[in-house]
Amino acid sequence: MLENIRLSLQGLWSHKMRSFLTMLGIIIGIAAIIAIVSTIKGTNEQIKENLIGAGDNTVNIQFYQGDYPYEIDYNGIPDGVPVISEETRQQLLDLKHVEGASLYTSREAYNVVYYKNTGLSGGRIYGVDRNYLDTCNYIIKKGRGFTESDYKKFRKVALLDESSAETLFQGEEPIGKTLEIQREPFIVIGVIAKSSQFEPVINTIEEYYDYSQNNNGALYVPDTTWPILYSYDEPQSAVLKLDSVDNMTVAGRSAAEILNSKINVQDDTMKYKADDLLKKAEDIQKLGQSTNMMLIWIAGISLLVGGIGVMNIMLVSVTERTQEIGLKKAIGARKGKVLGQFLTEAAVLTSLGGLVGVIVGIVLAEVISRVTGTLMAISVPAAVLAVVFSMFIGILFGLLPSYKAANLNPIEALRHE
Amino acid sequence: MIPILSAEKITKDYGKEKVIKGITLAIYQETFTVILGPSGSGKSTLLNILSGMVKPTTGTVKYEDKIITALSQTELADWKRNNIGYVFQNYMLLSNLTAEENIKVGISSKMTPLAFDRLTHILEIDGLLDKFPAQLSGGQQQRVAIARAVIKGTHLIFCDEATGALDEENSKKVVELLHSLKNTFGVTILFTTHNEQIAHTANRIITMKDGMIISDEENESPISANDMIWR
Repeated sequence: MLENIRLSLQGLWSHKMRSFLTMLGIIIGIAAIIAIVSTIKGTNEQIKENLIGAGDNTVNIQFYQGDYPYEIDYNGIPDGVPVISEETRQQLLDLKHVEGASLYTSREAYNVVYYKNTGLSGGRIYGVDRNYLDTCNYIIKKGRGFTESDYKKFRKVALLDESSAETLFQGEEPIGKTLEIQREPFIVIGVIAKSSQFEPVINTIEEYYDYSQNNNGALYVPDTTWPILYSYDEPQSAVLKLDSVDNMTVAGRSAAEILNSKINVQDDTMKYKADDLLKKAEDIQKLGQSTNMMLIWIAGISLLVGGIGVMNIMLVSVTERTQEIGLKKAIGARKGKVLGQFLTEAAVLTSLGGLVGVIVGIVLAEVISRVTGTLMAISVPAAVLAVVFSMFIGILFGLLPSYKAANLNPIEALRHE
Repeated sequence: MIPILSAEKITKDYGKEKVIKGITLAIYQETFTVILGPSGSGKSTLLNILSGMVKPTTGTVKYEDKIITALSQTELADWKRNNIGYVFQNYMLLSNLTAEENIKVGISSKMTPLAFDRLTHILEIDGLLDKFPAQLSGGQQQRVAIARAVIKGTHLIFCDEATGALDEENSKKVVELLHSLKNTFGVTILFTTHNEQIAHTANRIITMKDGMIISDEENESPISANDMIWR
């Protein structure tokens, strides 16, 4: 086998130009497929990143009524939704892929938060437990975070995100200042921000709603002080930190199931749901998939044409080397050996073409990515598959010429001029 | 004496044309046998039948006690590889391989080939091993081809007009070397030619005409290759 490969490479090298031109069809086909696949993969990663945010592996489980989060401001406290116990939080934490779990209550912060005469319109106010900042990957930008004694002593302290700090204080130092929340004084102890900056790309109105609540500013108080502002028994939400973005859907669903098993409501549409951004990303990716498949099919046609080119050249090669085949058969080469030699040659030719095609494809994807500004991601399985597939093309289209060679009559072959 | 190769009532028809018309013969070990005849006499076809390259229309060919006309294609290929060598009129060297690679082209890992250095020395090609066929003269190419036929340690060499493309000097050399290989390695040589001078160097001369053997004689006093008178 190795000897056959060596001979094939030698043969290809002795006809450099011809070999290259024969490979060109395969190179173009494979390069096109690799470039398309890399670009698609890049676009998909980008969609995921745009929607979810890189490195932010959190999933929210909120209480829904129908298709929208339950609006306590308009509907009041629902019956049959108990406060989530620490035991239940532990249950969430015990789920597979879950690295952190936190509970919080939240409301729209419309006209309830003021600093002097400046109000926070829009945005949300959150009553968060001790695990919240960690779970959601927040870091303290200024001041300090909540301490155990803040929770135990029901201290009226608040944290702001950068957006609400900017809106309320407009450049003034916020730490130590007193805010008015629901007519109660709260002292600002810190400003927090997400550890990884995430700039969502908003293309649709739905996406706008997804992010608007974050972008209008948020304000956090210890959940123990929440009843000072609102009520103790409001439906809570949970946020889970996961080991990977890819597990959002599964873990979110399981968590929602656990929470739903604790509620007892009349309205069937009222239940906990995980906001499934991953699924949303996949839905968007699916939209482009049929176009992508079409492109891959077109590139596949180029491979077919390349394969026919290989067959043609192999037939020429068999004719040229009729005497050689005759000689080999005369001195006792088995049919299978001649077949193997020509098949190997065809497979080596197309595999090399495939390999070059993969490299050209990656370069092409890189160029497309630079020019159009889209992401590209090289798919290693696709590259391996491309080379294996080109080898398969060589074997497939080399079969006829090889079979012809193996069945040559040695005497006639030797007489061939 | 046990024949190394024997043919029993072989015929060969190509359509209506009868090329071999019932030949029975036996070839003995370590002999140099010439099949003599003008072109069209059927000597090459006979050689091809005896070497297993062409199947006879009727009759059988035996190598030692193996009936080679009854072998399957694969068995026949294996038999050819392990037992016989072939020298062609136009050398049939592979142009992309060096002389050494051409010599070794038929050797498989299961064989115990002859001592390469000794063989190439006898054939006087030991200085040409890295050359490609295009860089060699006709005589040199034919000596490489002979080395390829013999290297496997085969006992039977078929030569089909092996000097047909060579001049006098090179022809004499090739015939002389074949004789010396017969004596050194104990190979049996079956040589077709239309050249009577070469026949005079053989142990046995079989003359063919119109697909039949018209005479089959032992040569009691073979001449040496150098004494051949070329015309």
